[in-house]
Amino acid sequence: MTATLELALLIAVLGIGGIFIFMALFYLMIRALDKYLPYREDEPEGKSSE
Amino acid sequence: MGNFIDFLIDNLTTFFNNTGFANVESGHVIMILFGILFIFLAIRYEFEPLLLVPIGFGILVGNIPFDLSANLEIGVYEEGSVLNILYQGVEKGWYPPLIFLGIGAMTDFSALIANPKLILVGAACQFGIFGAYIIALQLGFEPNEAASIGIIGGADGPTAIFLTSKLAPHLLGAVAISAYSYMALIPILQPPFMRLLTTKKEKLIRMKSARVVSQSEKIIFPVVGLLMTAFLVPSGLPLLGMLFFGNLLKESGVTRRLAETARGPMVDIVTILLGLMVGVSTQATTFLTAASVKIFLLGALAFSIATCAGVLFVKFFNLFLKEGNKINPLIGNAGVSAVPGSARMSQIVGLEYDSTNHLLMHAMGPNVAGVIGSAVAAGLMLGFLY
Repeated sequence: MTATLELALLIAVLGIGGIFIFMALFYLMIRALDKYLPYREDEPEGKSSE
Repeated sequence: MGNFIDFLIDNLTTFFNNTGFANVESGHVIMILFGILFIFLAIRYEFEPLLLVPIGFGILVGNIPFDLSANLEIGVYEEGSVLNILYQGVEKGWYPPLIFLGIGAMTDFSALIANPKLILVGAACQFGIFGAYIIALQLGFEPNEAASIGIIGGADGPTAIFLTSKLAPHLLGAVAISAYSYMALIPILQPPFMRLLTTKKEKLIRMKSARVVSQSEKIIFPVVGLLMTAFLVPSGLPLLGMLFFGNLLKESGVTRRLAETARGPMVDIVTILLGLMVGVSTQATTFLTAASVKIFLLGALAFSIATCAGVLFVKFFNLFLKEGNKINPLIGNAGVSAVPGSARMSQIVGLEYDSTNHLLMHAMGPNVAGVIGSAVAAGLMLGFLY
């Protein structure tokens, strides 16, 4: 395996791993929002503000 | 009289030498035909007309042959020309964040907030970027060039332009045209993979209705999203910061005028300038190269890998989900960030198998996650290679 390919694979693994970690943190953030700020009947629905 | 005729002939010769007819080369003709094809596809088949009409016309403008030595200062690559000044927005990468501001002001993140596990589909589709990156390196491209080519797989024109302007500005025309072409060709590129990689049973999966999202969640989402972005991937800040800012303008409820401007006139103006200048930048002399052909082929490959990765990831994810919570893999393709084109394809292909199974709202979750995912990928690439 050439050094270039090794580096490419390393960047690819770190990159895709980084994206999954980032997205997983987003997932946890959204779950936390749902837990601490749930939708209540008396609140206006979170529809688009258009 | 003889002097007058000589004078006339001299001037007519000078005039003719300055015309396009005297300076035309086969490359100009080929590019002009490309431009006409783009305009035809946009008007006749409505393939992303808002992009392809400006790009196609830009290709015509950029490939009008003229005598460079006449110092007319009209070419896009001539310092100080009007086109060159407008091109700075592409070259320096300040059109894409403005487009992202508009996209943020248009995007409703409810589908994602209501079903957050779909965000992982947006991550899976970024395999297309990194797969194409490795293949481009193996084909002899430099690492910075390979990253710019790989980002085509994110199916996000502004992100591709932003990253390429930083890493490989000499490939800007080919990468931008390739990214926008494949975005326009989503109805042709994605469905075969979606049909091929899913079983009949999977195509018929009905997903649960999404929960109602509170307004507070929708307001806090862009603020926390910005902070996460800034702290985790600072290099993605120009794109994601603007995306979340636009979204806050939309969701706050108190900046309606700003949101309307951002998603209306402002994004329209920047789209016109971006599309036109991307087209103009494809001058035959710099664009018609073997590298451009390779970039087009690799772009198609990146796009295909991204689509397959999204669909296959949903199938894999379903192995861990209970019956009733399963995800229809036909929304896996929507993890690329072509909003709403790829989500619309999920809906169209889904309806082919069950005319009452509407997948559009479910597909919007991975679709907006794809916007975030491709911008994060661009930020990571910048962090690694800039």
